[in-house]
Amino acid sequence: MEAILSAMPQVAGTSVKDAITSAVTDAFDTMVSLPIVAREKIEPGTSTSAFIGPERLVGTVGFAGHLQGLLCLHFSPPFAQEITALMLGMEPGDVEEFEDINDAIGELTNIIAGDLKTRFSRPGNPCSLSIPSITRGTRVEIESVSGAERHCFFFVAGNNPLLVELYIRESAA
Amino acid sequence: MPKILLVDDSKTTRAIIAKALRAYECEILEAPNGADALTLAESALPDFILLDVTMPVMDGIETLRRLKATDAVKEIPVMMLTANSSPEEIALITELGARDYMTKAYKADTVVDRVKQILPLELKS
Repeated sequence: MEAILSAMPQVAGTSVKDAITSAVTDAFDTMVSLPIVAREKIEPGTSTSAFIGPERLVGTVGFAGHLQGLLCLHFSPPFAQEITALMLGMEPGDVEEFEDINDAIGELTNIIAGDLKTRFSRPGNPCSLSIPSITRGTRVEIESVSGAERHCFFFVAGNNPLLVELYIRESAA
Repeated sequence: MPKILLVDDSKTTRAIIAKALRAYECEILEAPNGADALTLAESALPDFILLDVTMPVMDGIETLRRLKATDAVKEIPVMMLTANSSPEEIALITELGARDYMTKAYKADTVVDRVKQILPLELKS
């Protein structure tokens, strides 16, 4: 049992899988009112293209300080539009402005990053979050060159996939 | 009718909280940053301010500091909304005179419940 637990990736003694699952499902429940289910962990080295279509919208928030890394949420553009509509109380077809989608997806990413930061925080080790950013593109793949460990999970809300990638490392200082 | 000033650079956050507040008899004012909030607070004299911490132009901490240094508005209760629940930030918010704070993510209804603990609100009939 001990060997199994030690093999589960952890940050600051907290299971990465449990933290991401709780942060994502809580945020979708509270901010979007949309049930979302964790499906599977995506193994290191696996391309995200098998899980989500080529057209992407990616919300990103960075961690700096004791925790260093990046949280990336990958959405299909229609799913991002649907989430924006739910958060703003509109019909999906009425969401036309990139600015509104950026704001909604940025806020959702920010909330999940803030939750993860709280779950992974250790007393006396401050950590800051960057402002959220949004990337649009085709076949977007995020790679880290800083030695951070990649954790990637696949979620589903109805028929809509969501990919959550977390690149994280704890500062030695 | 009580006036509530909602200050957040996120249109999404303002929309979510405003929707929950609209169930009650209150007037909702909105500002996308601290500088606009200070101007609006001094002109409209709201009964309550919900203030995000991380905003462009002027952040919530500086806005709170200026609100509490301005005689006309310093008694208005302020609840801070923050994505950063570090003990240092919470201590600073409290020291500057915020009545309460909430950490994102939160349910909008929970925000309203916390507002009601400080500012009585009546459900719309």
